[in-house]
Amino acid sequence: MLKTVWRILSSHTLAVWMLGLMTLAVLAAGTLPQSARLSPEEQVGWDTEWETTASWLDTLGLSQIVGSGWFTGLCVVLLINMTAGTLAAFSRKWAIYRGHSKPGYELRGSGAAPAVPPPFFKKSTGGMGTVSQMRGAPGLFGLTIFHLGIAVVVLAAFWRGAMDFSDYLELSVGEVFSGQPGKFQRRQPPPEPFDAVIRLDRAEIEVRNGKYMGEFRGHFSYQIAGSPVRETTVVANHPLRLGDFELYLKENFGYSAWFERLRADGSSSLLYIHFNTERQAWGKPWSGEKEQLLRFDNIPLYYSMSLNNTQPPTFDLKVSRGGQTVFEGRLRPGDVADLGAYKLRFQGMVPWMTFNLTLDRGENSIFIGFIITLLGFLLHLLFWPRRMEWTITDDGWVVRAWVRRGDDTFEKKWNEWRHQLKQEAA
Amino acid sequence: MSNIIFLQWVIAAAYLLAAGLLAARNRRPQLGRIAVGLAGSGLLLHAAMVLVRGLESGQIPIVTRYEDFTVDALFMASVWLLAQWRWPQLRPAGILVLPFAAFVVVAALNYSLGVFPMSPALRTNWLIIHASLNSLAVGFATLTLAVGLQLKREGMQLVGRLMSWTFLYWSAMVAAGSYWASIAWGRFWAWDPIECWSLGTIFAYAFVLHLRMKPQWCQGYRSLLIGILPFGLLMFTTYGLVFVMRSVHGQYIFQ
Repeated sequence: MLKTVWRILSSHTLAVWMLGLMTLAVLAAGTLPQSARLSPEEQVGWDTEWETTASWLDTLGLSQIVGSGWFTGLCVVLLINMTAGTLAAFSRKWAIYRGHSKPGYELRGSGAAPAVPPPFFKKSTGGMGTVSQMRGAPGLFGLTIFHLGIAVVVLAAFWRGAMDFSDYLELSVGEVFSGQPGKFQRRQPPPEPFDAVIRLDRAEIEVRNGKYMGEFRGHFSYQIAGSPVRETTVVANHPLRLGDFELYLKENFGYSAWFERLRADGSSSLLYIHFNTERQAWGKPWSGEKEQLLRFDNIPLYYSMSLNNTQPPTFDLKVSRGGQTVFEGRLRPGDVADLGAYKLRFQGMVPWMTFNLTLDRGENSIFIGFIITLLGFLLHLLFWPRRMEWTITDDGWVVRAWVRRGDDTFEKKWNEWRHQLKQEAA
Repeated sequence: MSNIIFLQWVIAAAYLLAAGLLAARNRRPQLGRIAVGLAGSGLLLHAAMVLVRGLESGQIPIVTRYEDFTVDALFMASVWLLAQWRWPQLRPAGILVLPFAAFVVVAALNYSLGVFPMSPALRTNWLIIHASLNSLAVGFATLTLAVGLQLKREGMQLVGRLMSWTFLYWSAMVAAGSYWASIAWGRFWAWDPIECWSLGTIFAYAFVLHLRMKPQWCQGYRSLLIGILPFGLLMFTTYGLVFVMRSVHGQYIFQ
């Protein structure tokens, strides 16, 4: 029973089926609309415009393939099959390495040993006995190493999937971030405390020809718990490491209106309202509009606003509460709007940038797995394992060879050698 | 601009003529050597054109669709030339590889020849590594298909070996892209359409390479089908996908 299970799990046929199914599954994941890839608006649009198809995909488990039970099942079966198949293949290869399996080539002769040595045989027999030679041994274990690398990648990816954290946040110039959950797009705190304070001091954003990104840098001051304040510049491909976290720059930016919110008790805090800004409008006269319900100190106020990139910038604001307008007017830097519940002092306009904050455990293991995988396959391609054994006895001689299936070069040389022996005998 | 168009046509003509001479080499064997010389001259011109483009633009010429096509065609011709130099039995594959490279060189002219500044995320050596591995994979995949179509049964082992090299380069390209994504965006994999199709191509190659170990499963037309399947996926992922699906590649290059 166990033998049958082992034979099925390690079978080559199962590997072919699983690889075929994985190909189809992954291509489907890249082609069909996947809920994880769609924004909430796109999801609603897809569900309403393609109601029947969407419902069928949901029923068949195709609306979110990656992470679904059947996809995970395929991955697990493939991983088990690969591991079992690799172990079985390794034992066969080890037997070849040790010369304990049936040879692929064998030639016997009587009388004295042939004057022409067998192909690829460099050692001298030196008389009676057995001489063996192994060449290209790394190639024998290349595929084993390759499959080991894949196992490392898959296991590290599963492990990382359960541990990682990644979310976007937008920061305006002058804004301080110390891990507030409200700043994250998903509004969920990271699984570990963010023990750092960062402030975006300056944003260097250059748009060329109204379309292409030129310089794109964020200049930061930051402090990791217990260490002094440092300054740094974050650019693409060079994230900022903050303890266990890393901050990445995303090519997404705009202008924000910057306010000081003044409460009746005399306390104050900063408020940044971000406006999406087209690349073409960057650095040019521009006006952005926005409507938003903002709730501070449990008081909801409905803001209709417009930020104008003029010299100096202006901010048109209309605020209503329960249908009653509480403020309407144009603000210039330094102007104060009295909204009743609190006051807003318009400070001006600053750029904002988007960042991705990640907490990663295990990404390096994945890349180590990649390297092992590629190295293993390279060994498999570069080295041709050829084990040769030449035995000379009183009765005659025998040459045995263990080579990889499809070793055309060896086959050619072996046939040439046999032909030579025949000619000599004739 | 008109110089570039003229040069592209000259390169394509050299490749086509070389392919024609290769096809006629059975009648006069020396035509094969002339064909290789002609293809080599076309390749030198091709490489010089790409080099000048890179020097003029001040960045690696792999950012626009035109540049991508031109560089891939360069790799197709180079891989065949080097391979036939090492393994002369691969020379006839040039009859299919060179016209395909010529087609790609001319097809590049359908896209803007303008130079566009690279996005900050592209200004890294990882672009060179990632793009070169992709072009190498395209070159090997084209050669594999050509050898498979021409040598049929006699070329089975050779096709398997070439397919393995394609698989290696494509996998290395995906791994390099994944590492680059991790340092650029903080995630090594996001199941983006292009990532899914790239992985699907890896699986397809693994599927075919495993299938080839069962000779009874790849007899006759099935052998041709299983050879074309991964090649088709590789080509579609490289050239076609950005036209039909919104993907991370489309946001950064091929503008």
